[in-house]
Amino acid sequence: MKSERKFQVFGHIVMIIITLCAILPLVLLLISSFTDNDTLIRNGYSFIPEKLSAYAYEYIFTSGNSVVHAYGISILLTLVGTTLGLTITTLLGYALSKTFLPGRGIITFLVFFTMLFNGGLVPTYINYSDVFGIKNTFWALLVPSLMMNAFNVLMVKSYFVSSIPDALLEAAYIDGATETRAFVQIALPLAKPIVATIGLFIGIGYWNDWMNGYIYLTKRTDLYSIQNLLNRMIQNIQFLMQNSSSISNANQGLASIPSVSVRMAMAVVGVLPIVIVYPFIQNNFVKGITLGGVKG
Amino acid sequence: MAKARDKSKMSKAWRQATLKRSIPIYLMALPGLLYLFINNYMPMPGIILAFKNYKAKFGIYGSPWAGLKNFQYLFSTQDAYVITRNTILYNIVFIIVNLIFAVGVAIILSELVSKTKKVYQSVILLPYLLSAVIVSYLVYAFLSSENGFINNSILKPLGRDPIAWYQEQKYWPFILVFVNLWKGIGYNCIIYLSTIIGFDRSLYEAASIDGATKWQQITKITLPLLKPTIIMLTLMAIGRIFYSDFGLFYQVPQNSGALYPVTNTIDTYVYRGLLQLGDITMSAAAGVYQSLVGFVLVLSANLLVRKLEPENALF
Amino acid sequence: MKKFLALMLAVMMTLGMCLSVGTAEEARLEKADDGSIAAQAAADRIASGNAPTVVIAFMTWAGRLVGTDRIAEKMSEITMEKLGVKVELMPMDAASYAQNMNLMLASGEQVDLFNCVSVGFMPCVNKGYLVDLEEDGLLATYGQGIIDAFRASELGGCRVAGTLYGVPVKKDDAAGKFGISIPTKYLDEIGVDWQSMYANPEDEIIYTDFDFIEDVFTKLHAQYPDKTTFYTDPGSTVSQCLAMDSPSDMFGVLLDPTNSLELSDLFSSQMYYDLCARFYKWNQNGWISPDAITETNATTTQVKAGSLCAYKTATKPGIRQQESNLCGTPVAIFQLGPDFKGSSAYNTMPWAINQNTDDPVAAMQVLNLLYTDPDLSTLICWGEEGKEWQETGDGHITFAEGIDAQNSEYYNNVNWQMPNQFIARIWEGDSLDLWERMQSYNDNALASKAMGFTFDNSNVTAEYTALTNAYSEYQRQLELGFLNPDEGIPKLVERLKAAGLDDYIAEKQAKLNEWAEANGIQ
Repeated sequence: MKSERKFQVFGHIVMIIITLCAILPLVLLLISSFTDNDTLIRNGYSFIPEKLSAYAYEYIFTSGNSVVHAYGISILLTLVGTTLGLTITTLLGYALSKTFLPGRGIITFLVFFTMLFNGGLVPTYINYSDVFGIKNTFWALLVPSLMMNAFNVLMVKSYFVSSIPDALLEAAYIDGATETRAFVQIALPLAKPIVATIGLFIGIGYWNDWMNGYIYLTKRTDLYSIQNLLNRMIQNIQFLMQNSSSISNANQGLASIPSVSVRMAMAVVGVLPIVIVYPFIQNNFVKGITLGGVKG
Repeated sequence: MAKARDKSKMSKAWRQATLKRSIPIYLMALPGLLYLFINNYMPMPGIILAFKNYKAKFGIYGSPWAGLKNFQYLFSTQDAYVITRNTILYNIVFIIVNLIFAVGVAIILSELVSKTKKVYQSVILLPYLLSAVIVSYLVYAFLSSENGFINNSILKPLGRDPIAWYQEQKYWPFILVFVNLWKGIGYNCIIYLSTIIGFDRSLYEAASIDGATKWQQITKITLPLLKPTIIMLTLMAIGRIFYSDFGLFYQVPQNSGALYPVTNTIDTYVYRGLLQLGDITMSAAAGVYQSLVGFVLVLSANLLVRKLEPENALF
Repeated sequence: MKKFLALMLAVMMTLGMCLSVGTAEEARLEKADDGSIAAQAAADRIASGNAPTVVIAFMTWAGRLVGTDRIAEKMSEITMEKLGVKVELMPMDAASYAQNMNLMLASGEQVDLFNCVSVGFMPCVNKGYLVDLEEDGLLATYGQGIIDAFRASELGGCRVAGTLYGVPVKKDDAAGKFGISIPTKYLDEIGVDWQSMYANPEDEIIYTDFDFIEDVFTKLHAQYPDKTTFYTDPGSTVSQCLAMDSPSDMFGVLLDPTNSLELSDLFSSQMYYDLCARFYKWNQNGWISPDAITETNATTTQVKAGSLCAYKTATKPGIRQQESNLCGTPVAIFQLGPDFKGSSAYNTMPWAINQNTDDPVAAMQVLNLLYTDPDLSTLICWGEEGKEWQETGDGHITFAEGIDAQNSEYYNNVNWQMPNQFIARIWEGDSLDLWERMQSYNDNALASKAMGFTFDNSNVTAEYTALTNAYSEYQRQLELGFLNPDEGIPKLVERLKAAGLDDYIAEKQAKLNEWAEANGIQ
């Protein structure tokens, strides 16, 4: 149909423009990571650099703070964290979608309240460090802040409320199913899109996070994730550039930190796995279409 | 009389039934609520740090009270108006712009048939994964005076003078909105996309059989169905209206003083001011201030939504 | 055992006194006794078999390096033998140091000794994080080596309202103002006969004036049009170029620090105007890069990459070698201002003891040992012999076989933060009498009358945050010469006044006068 075709063409044009805007700087990033460091400093970042060099990647993969090890940590953390986080988020979201649940309104408000008010960094730190003693352990990367947040819970709740028809569930109860069975056998399979979406959000949250590692890891450098490693390096540079008046030998410090091209390479390295994994996750979005399960 | 008795019998049975059904539901909710308690509610009393004159010997709860003294610096400054205005205005623009593009892209992606849409989706997500400092380097690559892409490869061939981007205020609202959009579009459209995919396809089939054009299908079916999601996300964004993306407003303009009038937000002001002072009570006060305003705004907005579209209110 | 320890202590004390050759006539703090109590405490601890652990925290450029645990063990060998105490090292990334330290100090985690750099000495005092070092004679009994290492006036820099909270670091306290560093290869190519300009043959710094420098810049700019001629790192421009004293911060300074204790507004002063005007001229001449405001690379990195010809630096003994190493090519150092010791000379990075520590005596004794034991100091500064460094045969040390700055397991390069680098070994390239030179340099520099004063600004923190933001807005534009000072400075001053500059200066003056009275300074 004509409007259909027009739309397809229009859609492609828009997406191509947006995609180009997104990818252009990323290509620049990639090219800079392969550019010779001195050239970067002299001529700035350029799409067609004067001199190429793989020094940055050499440095990353052979330097003391093993980047490969950090990759491992990141991957482990993301897998474990996403699994746990997804489980508790989905369960809570489903529970809150049940309109008959006594106290549902209050609990929903309590969940939402955490989005607005936060104890703050120092109390949170004291909570995890003193009370729970997880500092300098893997738990410190896993538990604080990232596993579940109100936003995700409310997304899941809203999905279950609007997209799982009551008729299906009623049919199940009439057939004598328990709540748990209804959840596992009916609601969950239909929730694939939201599970994939929230799983993606949680996964990206864990992968990108460097804050937890920054404040909770002071002795265990073997627990640094990739983004933690990169951001430490970059923060050190920013810090020195801004505080040179109070630190007498800032230049010495700056000289000890890896060069510009290495920072670019680390950024590429940090993004790479997601580039590879994301297409696989995308499949679930397509598979989650309700197959016309609602009939009268 | 008989009816009343029947009613009470029914309500008793109904309550029992709900209790029997509720227990497994409560059990399902338990892990999440436990996490929420440990992660969010246990540290929450620490908010009073903002009202204290902290002395390490006494800890947070034993330290002497400081009343509202720690909040003073946020209001007594001549910059208070500028930083508040910047924070709010940018957030409003971000909410609107990001909404339009995220919904638009989600709709387009959901309707495209070809396989390349997977490529689009993956690529536009990538900028979200870059840290703010890397983004600031990339922006610098485009806007640097001497070597920047724009000055060198666009303005020079056109015969125009190079622009000192980091010293001209007028371009930055657009630059920041664009960078914010660029960074977030891939991420923001995901939630809309997955919601749209969950819609019943038969509605669209029926509409197209009735001769509706694509545009009509979008405006009459997709958008109304998306309304609950849009309202919910917007309400949540309003709750964060006093916060700003620190990386965007501090790193991307390279902390250039000439741009402060248009890039200074509450978060950057607090950071700059407290960098040397290291005052934990003052930064706690800033957090409380931002949360409180967001809270009030969300409650008000929610009340409004409840009047107009009751089922879509957050609570 | 006891006799041996007593002998060790006597030797250490003598060593300590030898280090302060030529200054023994200046007042020192009083000691509690002849060192026998401290010796007894150490002996008792060793005898008891209960070895407490003292955790030492400091910041480094690259975080916790791989060899840290090993070095801590080697250090523990010495401290166990002498004090019956074990030590642990906790080096942290420079950028996260302040935040991590604040969190640890607030949550009561074990950190016994730490350096106050970046966290801020005054903020630590205000929050009550630090032990009063003279309480119960802690310093006088267990820190006698420290008393020997510093004059009373130097330690006075770490006093707040009379209470001693920290111990300064042995480093270059004075700085040569307005130094310019230029790679010699560029100078040779433009035909400047810099070699003949040294006043004395063993000098490393050439004292000259602006006319000469501007002439050199003109030639450099002509010879190397595609290189940036000059760059100054804006964060330190004012403090390193102007011979004024800025106690604690830039808001309210002593314009005539050797003679007067009157604070004035730096930004309304002629001194500041001249500086900005000069940089404005240099900018107009094209000697400063149009991207200087957003420069993301360090000065020496730029020189190393070949994109910069000259830059500003503060000077001190050893500067020429240091900058040459950083630039990767020999440089010549010119100096346009005097050598000067500001009020913050002794309180920017003191070592302090956490008030939450379990055993302040053990912490003090370890700190004392760091100031007096050459082996301990060498370990914490340079690492382990054979693994990180080796002898060069002429008294210096250098990298061990196959080790360099990148792959060394413990090369922190933060000796300026260590308690006493003066007694540690000397690295190749620096002269063996570097520390004697440093001491006499410190002593002979012009000293501010307010030396030792720390400003407690807790009454004016709101003004401070506003002032910082206001100054930050104009700082780089003015000090890198992008803004005409005739227009820019009045605007800056107006903003500062609106932010409460006058109140802030008044408060500072009041505190300064109080301090002066308490210390008997006119």
